[in-house]
Amino acid sequence: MAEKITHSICVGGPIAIHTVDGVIRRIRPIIFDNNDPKGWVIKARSKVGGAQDAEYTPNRKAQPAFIALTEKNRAYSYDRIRYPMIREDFVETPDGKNRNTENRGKSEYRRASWDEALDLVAREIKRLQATYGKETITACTGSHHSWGLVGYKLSTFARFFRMLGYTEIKDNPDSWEGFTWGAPHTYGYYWRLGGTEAFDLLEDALQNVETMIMWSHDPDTTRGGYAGNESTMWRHWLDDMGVQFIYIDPYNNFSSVKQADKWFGPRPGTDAALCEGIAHVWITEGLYDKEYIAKHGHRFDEWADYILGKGVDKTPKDPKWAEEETGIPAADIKALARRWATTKTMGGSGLRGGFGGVCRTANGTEFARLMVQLFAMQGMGKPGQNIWSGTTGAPMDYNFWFGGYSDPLSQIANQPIADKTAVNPVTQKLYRPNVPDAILDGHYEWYGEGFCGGGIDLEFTEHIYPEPGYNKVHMFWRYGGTFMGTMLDTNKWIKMYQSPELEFVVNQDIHFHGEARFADVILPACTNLERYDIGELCNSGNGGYQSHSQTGNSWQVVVFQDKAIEPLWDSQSDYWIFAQVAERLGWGKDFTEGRTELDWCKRFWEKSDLCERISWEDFTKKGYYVAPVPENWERHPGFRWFAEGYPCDTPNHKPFQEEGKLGTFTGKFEFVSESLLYFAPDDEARTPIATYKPSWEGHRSIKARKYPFHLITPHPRFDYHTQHNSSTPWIWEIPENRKYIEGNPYLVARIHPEKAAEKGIKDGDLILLFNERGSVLCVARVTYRVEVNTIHAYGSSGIYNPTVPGEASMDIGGCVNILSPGKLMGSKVPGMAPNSTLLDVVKYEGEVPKTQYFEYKLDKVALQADPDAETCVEIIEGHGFEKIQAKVKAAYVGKVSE
Amino acid sequence: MANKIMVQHLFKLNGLYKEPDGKVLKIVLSEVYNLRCFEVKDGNLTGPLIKIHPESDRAKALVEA
Amino acid sequence: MRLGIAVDSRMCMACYCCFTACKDEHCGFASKLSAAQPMMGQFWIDVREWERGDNSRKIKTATVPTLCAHCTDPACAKAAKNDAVYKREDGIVIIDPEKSKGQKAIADACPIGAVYWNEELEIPQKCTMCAELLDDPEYLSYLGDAKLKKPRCVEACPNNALLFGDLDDPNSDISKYIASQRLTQLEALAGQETNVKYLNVPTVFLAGTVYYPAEQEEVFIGAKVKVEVDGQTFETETNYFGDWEVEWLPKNKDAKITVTADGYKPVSYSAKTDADHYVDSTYLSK
Repeated sequence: MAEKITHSICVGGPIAIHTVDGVIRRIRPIIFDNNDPKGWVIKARSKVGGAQDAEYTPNRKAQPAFIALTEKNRAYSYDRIRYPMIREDFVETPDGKNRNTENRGKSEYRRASWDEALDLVAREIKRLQATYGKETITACTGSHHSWGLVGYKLSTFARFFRMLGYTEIKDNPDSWEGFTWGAPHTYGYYWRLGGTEAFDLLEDALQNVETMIMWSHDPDTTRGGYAGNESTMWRHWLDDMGVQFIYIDPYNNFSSVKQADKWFGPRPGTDAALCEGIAHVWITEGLYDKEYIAKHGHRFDEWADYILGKGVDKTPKDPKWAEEETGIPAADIKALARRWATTKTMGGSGLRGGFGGVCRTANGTEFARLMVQLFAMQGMGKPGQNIWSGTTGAPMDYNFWFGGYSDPLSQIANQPIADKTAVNPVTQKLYRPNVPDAILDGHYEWYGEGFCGGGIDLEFTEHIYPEPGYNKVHMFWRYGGTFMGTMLDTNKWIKMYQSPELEFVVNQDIHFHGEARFADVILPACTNLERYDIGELCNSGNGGYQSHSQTGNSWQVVVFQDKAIEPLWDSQSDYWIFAQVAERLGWGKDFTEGRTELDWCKRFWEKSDLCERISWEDFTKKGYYVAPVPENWERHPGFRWFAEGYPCDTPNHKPFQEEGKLGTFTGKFEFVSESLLYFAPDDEARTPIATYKPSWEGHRSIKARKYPFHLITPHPRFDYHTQHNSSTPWIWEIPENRKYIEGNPYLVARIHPEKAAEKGIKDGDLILLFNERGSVLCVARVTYRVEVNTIHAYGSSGIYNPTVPGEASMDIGGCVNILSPGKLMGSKVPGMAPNSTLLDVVKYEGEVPKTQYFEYKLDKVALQADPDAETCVEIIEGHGFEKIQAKVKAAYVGKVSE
Repeated sequence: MANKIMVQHLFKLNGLYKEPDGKVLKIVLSEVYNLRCFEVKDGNLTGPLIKIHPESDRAKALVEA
Repeated sequence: MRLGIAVDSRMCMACYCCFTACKDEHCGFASKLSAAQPMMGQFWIDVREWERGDNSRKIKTATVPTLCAHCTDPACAKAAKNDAVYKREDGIVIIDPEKSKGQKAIADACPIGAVYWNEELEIPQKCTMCAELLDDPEYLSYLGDAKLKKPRCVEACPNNALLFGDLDDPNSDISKYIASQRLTQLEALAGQETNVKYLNVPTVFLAGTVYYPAEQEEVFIGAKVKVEVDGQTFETETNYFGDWEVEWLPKNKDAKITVTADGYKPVSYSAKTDADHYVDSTYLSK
């Protein structure tokens, strides 16, 4: 019985993997041993108002989210794509027409060999490129497929497609929308997509803060992005020392309900009005840092006049006015404003301060700008006064560099990791949220580069599809994840897939997720436990837009993501798949440069500081490296340089910051935005003065008469980027997540008792969420935790289960984004606004479908290949998992003894 | 309090700099407090990640290429 | 030596790490001491969450990871025949997966529902405190320190809500911690001595807000609130939001609440502590 310990990381954090006889036995957190370095020690108060005589240090382990502990299940999951598959009624017609595309999503699949599948893919690529040009192929990934610098979408996927030449699909900054498109016009930081710098602010908070404003923020759910549970203890420390936590969220979320001293539930989409109400109190009562604003504010008085009712609308944005919009009593708004202003207050929106569901609303940009303005008014950057939302800013050794996934230096697509940088010759683009519109309409136009970290001007670049001189797209290669639960008005993806415009569709994924079932060819990829990779905990890239996201961890950990087991069934690594296609296209050697995945891992070790800290042998043997924080580490608190007037000394800053300037035209906080006046003076969504505007799909729109509820679909607690929740039935047994009824895990949707009573809905009933775009069947959670007009259901469902496969029909999988508007935030603001959705709900008394709809397609192919195969139901409910492990073990032991 | 040695202040990100021995270095990182470069040969980035302290003699000898 | 686990409900954020680690260890895998846990339907550590409050103005949740308490005098052992249930020297209670076959009474006997009946195998099953791992000298030997071995749930917890150690050693971390916290035995185990110590499980709160007369639209800071229940008196003041709250009230009693503020008429309420209540938003009058 040979037990092997290896390590890996997933979006939920780092894990230790125990493998016995070729099968994964257990997944555990990485517990540091006595050879690993000591953790940082912060000296701070033991209670608010007390002396700085307590010491804080993290637990000696890396703390993943619970979803990371289900990685074994993701590997042996019922919904693994086991074999290459080809759509049964796909016809390889020579002209690409008459291929029964209208059946995509309905058709069954047959098993194919790798050669058959890959040869077909290569033939189609050649045919399409010859007929239409390289631009006719498009491809995109999910937000996160698997962790690791080799396998990541900007690495292997990018290398392949840039070498192939293709129409790139630009991602919208989905988690940041309002902040990306709005906040830079107030204070710069476009290179952080409108988020601020949190360096060393954990220490600042522990030492100084008195009030935390957690706006649209559920840190124990969104977990600092990829930082798992690294920061949970920090918030306990603050809570225990008496810091007051104020949560503002239409849902009294999971962090709020345990730690809030006060919860405010504004009507969705009205947070900007709350900002204005707070500002009104500060201005009329003189409760803001006038000296700071005089020095650092630009055209403040003109905005103040607007707040006071001296603007064109002659309406003071007083607490009474704000109460009418938000539903929060005026008295409470005044109390909030005064508490904020009279104590040392930090806070922010969402997982790193510049996120939050609130910014994914129709006028999310205005909220983002106003929120920044509020923090500015209280002297942002002074001790205990900053945008910091409790999930970042731990001590870190900034002198240790190991790349993150968004660093061009850390991608196999580029030098120095590769010998030759892959360059895409095609300039035509598509824009992710509305790819279906572009394909179906044959025309699409939009502004901006999606992720506009390179400059404010990049928000205003103009794009049109098809680009003059280019042909339309006729092939779609979809890689990893599913948009049915994450994008907008997602029933339109069905129409897109069924359009004859798409002559050929490939899906490459680990699990048989929502979009896989629309493909002509399905290529089974393996998990990152089945291949080699290397990565660092929560490192999304130092030069990129999330600089030093590792400060969201208590530890800096680089992990050798060793191969724990061989790829299961017929699956292969993404890298192998792309290499095979490249080979068939005649550039296999250029793609791989003769390197195996393990070779690439070593390149990352070599071309970073890691090789100076630990040998390759030691690193691969131990499996991880913890970068210690020096005992007297240099502090460079975020924004302190600005508040105190010395040249900026924080990492990842721009040269003008060394002159005390912000990244705005004037170098100051712009209460009237000069950049908007310059670039988009007629922007109806982002007016030169940020103002609250009722949502175009909100309580003041005509639609509200018919669909009176707001739907919010925040980043999920029991899932991440559509992974985990779909693969692990244990998670379906969590009552706050889903309820498993007749073979289907129904998603929980939350409704206030008052509205539930009106509709005769009881806790646990099936309820139908619906509007003109579609319907989703959920399980009701009747709770006082939601704002009375709000329905809350987590987005990002990886389970898509339409009752009529291949048709826009009721979904029982929980893809609530089906109901969200496809309209982008503004004519010049290309952001998504899924939290500006109106809907109605009704107690569902119709037929309850039995079983999952796609199961039978997978089962059929599995049983074709192996009559003794474990079916989906057996794996979920029975002994299928044990059977799989027994088979794999027998094969492994057999091979070993050969 | 302030760290005066801010790399961006002294060296251009993505800039090319020549060493006395003729080696050309490309500055690839300047968000942290040490200069990080790769050697450039025939237009390609080669070799290991080179770390140069901005106040060192080696740094002082760098000339914009 | 008496091995035990401390469960701190206050620190628990219902992150489900313990729940998942336990399932990861036991679902689909038998051990020397237990049969495999079925893939669905059993929760050897069950994160019991319930909402507290009857008004959106004040809502909390109680989060209590609930596992077998490894009682000193286990009800399941009393219901067992054939020595099917035994308590080890270290205090861990084990159900023998063979001897317990057919004995549904063992599962039914548990006062907190921590023993589950496996229909297929016809055996009762529950938490083993990962004794099979603690017993195994090879388990985690690669870490080089036997002290790092813990039950899976405790190891996975990121909130310091689960602790493990020797309850007989007053200097152990777990003993010191328990001594510093509110010991709140689960109601169904009242009076029982157990190796799992439940800490800070809430009872009942009463809460409210005090405002100046409605037309002023202002919260009243510093109003005095007195809650009299079951012969005890709790006094507090409204905070910067005009909110008041009294926790840890004795359950199922009648309470009298009096709100007084200088210059205004006092206001009285009666309430019951049958459940958590938001008593009222009080608007004072002169």
